[in-house]
Amino acid sequence: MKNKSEKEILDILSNAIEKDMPDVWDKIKNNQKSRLSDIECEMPTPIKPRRNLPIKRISSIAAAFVIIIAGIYISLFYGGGILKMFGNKPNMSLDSRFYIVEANNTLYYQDFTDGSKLYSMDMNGGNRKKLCDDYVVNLIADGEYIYYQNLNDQKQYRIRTDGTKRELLANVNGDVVIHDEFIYFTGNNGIYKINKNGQGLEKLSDVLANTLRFYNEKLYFSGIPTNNDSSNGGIYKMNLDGSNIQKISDQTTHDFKMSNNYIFFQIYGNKISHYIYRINIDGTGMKKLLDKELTTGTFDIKDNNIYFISSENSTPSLYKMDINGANITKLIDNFEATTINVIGNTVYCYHPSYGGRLFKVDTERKAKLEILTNYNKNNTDK
Amino acid sequence: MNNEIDKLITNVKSGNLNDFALLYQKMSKGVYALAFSILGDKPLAEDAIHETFIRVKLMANSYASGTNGTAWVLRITRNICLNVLKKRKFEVNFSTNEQSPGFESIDHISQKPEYAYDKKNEFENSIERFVLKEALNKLKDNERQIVLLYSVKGLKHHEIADLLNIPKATERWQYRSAIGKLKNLLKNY
Repeated sequence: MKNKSEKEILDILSNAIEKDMPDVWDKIKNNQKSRLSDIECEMPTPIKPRRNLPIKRISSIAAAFVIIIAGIYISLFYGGGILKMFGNKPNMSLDSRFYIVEANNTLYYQDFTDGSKLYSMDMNGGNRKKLCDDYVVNLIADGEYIYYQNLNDQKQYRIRTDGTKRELLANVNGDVVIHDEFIYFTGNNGIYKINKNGQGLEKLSDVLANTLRFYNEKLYFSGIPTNNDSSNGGIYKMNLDGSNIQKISDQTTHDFKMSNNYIFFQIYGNKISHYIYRINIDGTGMKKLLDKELTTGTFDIKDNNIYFISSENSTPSLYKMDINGANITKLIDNFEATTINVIGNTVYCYHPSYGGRLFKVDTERKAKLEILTNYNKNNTDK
Repeated sequence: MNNEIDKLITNVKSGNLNDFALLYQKMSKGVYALAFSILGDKPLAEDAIHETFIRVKLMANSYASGTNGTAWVLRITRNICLNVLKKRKFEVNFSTNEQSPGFESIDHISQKPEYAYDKKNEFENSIERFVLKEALNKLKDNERQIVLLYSVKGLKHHEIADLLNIPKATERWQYRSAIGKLKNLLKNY
C-alpha cells in the first residue's frame, strides 16, 4: 500500500474533527453566566459579512455588556465566589518545567504561585521578593544579571539581581547560552549568535537544534530530524564562531547535559528510550548507565552524581547514582518531580500537581521540605 | 488568523457580541481539537468548549490586545481540560482516602488519560472516527495535541509550541513523529 502524504493525513484528521464536533453555541447563548440570552446575539453564517449595526445600538449593547460583566465580577468577587466560579486560578502554572538558578547565595526562580513571574528568595525559601512582572522561562544567572525569556512577548531580557535595570536584549527564542558578550540561541531554522545589546545577529549553523550547551569553549547541540532531512538528528559540536561543525553522535536526543567530559542523554529517535546514556565528548564510548527508565524523563548532574526519578512497582522515587551508573541510592521514597535542579548541596524538585509545588531535598538527611506551593490555594477551591 | 482572532477578542472586550459569535465560529474547531486531544472523551470535550467560551466572554477584559488571541483562548481551554482531569483524580483520591491527598502526580493523568479512552465506543462507527480513535491510542499526548491542533489549520507550529510551552524545535520533532506514526497506521486505509 502507498503511504499517505502528510497532507492527506492532516485532512483525514481535520475532517474527523469537523464531523465529530458538537455545536454548543445555543448552550453558551443560554448559559446564565454568559448572559447572551438577554441580548440579541446571532451566530453568523460562514463568511457572512458582518452586519453594520448603527453606532447607537453598538454603544448600547457595549454599555449593557460592560455593566453586566462588571456586575457579575463585583458580586462574585465580593461574595468570594470568583475562584469557585473559575475552579482554579485561570493563569496558574500547569507546566511540567520549572526554572530556578542561583547567584550570590540567592535563588532566582519562576514563581508559579504568581503568574510565573521572576522572584528571588534565600536558599531556605524565605525572603521572597518579586523582581519583575514578566512571564519568565530559561533563566540564566550571569554576573550581576539574570537573563530570561519573557513568554509574554517571546523576547530576551536581562535584569539586575536586585530587580533594577530591566533591559530588552533581543528578539530571541529557543534554548539560550550566554557567554562573554554574546547570546547564542537555537532559532527556528538554525543556530544564531547575537550581541547582548541585540546587535550583530549572525547565523552559525543551519542545523535545526533543540538543546544548546557551552562546554570547554565549544558549543554542543542536539540536532532534530526534519521532514526534509531525517539525518539531521544527532549530537553536534562546533566552535563559537560556527566553524568546524562536527556530528559526534548519530543518537537523536532533544535534551542532554554535560559533565566531567561526558554527555548524558536519553534517546528520542525512532525508538524513544528513557534510559540514561553517556558518551565521551568526542562521541565515543556509549554506555547505558541505568537499567531502569526515568519516570518523568528529568535528571540533573552535580559533583559526579546524577539525580533522577525512577519507579519500582509503579512507585516513583528520587534517586542518585554516580556518573558511572554505580552506587545507586534512594533519597526520597514515593516522590516524583518533573524538574530537578541541583544547586549547591540541595536538590530542588518541582511537581505541577495542585498548580505547582517546589520541594527542597536534603540529600544527607534524605528528607524533603516543601518551600513553595499552590496546594492550599487549590485545595480550598475543591 | 491570529490578527483576526486578536481583533475579535478586542472587540468582544469592548462589548461587540456579534464578534463573540464570530469568534466562536472561528475558534470552536481548534478548541474542540485541543479539548478532545487532552480529554479523549466527546461529552467532556463538549463541556470544555462550552466552558471555554463562557470564560472567554467573562475574562475578555483581562485580554491584552495586540497579543496572540488564539493562544490565549486555547490556553484557557487547556487549563480547563487539565482541571477536569485533576478533579477526577481528586474524586478518586477522596473516595479512597479521606486524609490529605499528599503528593499526587497530576502530570501522569494529564499525559495518560487512558481511562477516558475506554469510553470511546462511539467512535467505531465510521472510518474517520476509527482513525481518530487510533490516533488517540497510538500517539503520545503531546504528539496527539500537536497533530490535531495543526490539522485544524488554525494554528502554526510556533503557536502550538507557545501554547504547549515547549521549544519550537521540540514541537516540530513531535509533530514529525506523530505524522510518521500516522503514516504507518493508515497504510492500509
